[in-house]
Amino acid sequence: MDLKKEVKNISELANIKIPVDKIEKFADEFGRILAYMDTISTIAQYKASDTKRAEHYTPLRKDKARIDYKPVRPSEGRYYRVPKVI
Amino acid sequence: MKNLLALNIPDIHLSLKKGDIQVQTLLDEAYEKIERNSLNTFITLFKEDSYNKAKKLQKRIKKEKDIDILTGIPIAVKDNICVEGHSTTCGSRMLCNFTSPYSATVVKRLEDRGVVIIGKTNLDEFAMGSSTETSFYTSTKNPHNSEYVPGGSSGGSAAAVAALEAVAALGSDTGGSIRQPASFCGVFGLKPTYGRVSRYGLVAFASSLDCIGPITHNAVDSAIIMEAIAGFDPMDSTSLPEDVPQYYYELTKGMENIRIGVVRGKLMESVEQDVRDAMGEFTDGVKFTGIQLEDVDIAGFDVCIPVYYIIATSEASSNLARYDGIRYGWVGEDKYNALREMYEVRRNEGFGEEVKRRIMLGTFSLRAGYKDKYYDKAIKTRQKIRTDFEEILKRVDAVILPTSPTLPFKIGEKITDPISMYMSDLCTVSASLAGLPAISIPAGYRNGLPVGVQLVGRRLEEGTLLKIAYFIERTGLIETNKK
Repeated sequence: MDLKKEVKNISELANIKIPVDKIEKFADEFGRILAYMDTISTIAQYKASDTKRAEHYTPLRKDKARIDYKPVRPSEGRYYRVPKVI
Repeated sequence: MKNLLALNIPDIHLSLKKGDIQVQTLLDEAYEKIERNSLNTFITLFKEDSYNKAKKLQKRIKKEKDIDILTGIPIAVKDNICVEGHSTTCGSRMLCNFTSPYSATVVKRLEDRGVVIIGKTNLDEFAMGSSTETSFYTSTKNPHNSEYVPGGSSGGSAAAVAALEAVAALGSDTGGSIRQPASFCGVFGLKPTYGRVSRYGLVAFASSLDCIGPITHNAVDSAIIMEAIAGFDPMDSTSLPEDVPQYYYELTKGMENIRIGVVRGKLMESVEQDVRDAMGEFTDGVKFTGIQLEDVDIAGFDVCIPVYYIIATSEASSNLARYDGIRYGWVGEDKYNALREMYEVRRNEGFGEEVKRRIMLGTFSLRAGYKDKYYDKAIKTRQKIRTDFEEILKRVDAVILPTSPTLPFKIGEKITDPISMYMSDLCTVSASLAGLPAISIPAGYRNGLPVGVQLVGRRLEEGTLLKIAYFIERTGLIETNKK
């Protein structure tokens, strides 16, 4: 892996402009961190039964119908005035 | 000067009620200590607001018979938790001009109970760090020795409590950011079960791991604050609907048949001798109190750090994408020709090195072609770590292990070596990955520096951890804060 090229590509994806004079330092640190993170590849792949999802609640509010349709016509010339939301 | 801020919350409450002290006196003491100590614990102080509130509260205390136990208690808040009308910088240049439009649920709950917030504490930038050195504004010093770091990322909160600048503080914990600084500063730090305390108003770092919790002088204060901040919040979709126990009331109940697992094996080989010795002495003491101990070995400790850093940075890369210099953030000079370039320049100038490193690591882990190898594998391993931990907790009520693999280190010692800094989280990330509650309690001093041990408990059983901590504290095993 060409780390300097990699750092340039990732910085573009991350929308961060790394100054040219700092790319080498970033690439060096990145290489060391990635080598360490690669220890994850030594872990055995777990069976599906080992990785069952924990219980998770997402509390949802009840839906309330709000029917207040009025025929929509342009109110200001060609424009529509919409209700203020913020 | 009296050390009023060293008293526990029930004692301060009693003195306020009897009229022996006033809320203003507590604030005078806090602000005087902050100034005198010069530990750089705070980014912003709320002097005007807090004295105005103190006046109102003092009138209420005089008038009403039954006042809330938290009325008039001065508390510090980490500067990544929003307090309406005040700045929330997250220790970053990116948010130097940001004013919170609303208060976090935890802040609202405490203020509704009469707490006085005295200011916002320093932290590692966006809570990313273990030493409070990555803050854009200042480095906080350890109150026990100013050449040493206070830990991080809630280093300002832990140091403020240890230096008696506040009765308690709120911190946030993603991979150990409440527990590790609590250990380095010799105070109590509780990371609740994921979802137990609302994250609404906490600036997101890694949403599946972030938790807010109290940092205090003792177990009683932790119980009182936890009771106030915990509980369901419709504004946080990961908030748990279960009822909150009366932690304070239940502190003295049911210590019979408590079993604690003591971590042995590979993890203990990876910690410093001083920490191992302190932990050994501590567990010997615990054994003497009659609590039943058994050895446990938690498998997979060696992979917890990579798993944690892959998940946390992946989530951070997504959460921090909102800082584009338009909706939020640092604007700087106009040095660009196109929109994309503007984002890139502003994000480069607004973020510090560690934050950039983590955003890029997360972007890398989620990138097409690499996601299977890193992020997906980390997620599966996280589930395995969780089930393994839960299996152990079927046999014992809590697991005890060191909070940090090292004693506090010197300012500047690790800041240029990211991997060595990441290793500071070795003992704390597993409870974070498993979403379990954990508390760091002081376990004495080595070379004049505090050492902490950590208790990890079952899901939603913060009460058991607080009860054990309180019990151990009363046996005199915990050396009181030397400050």
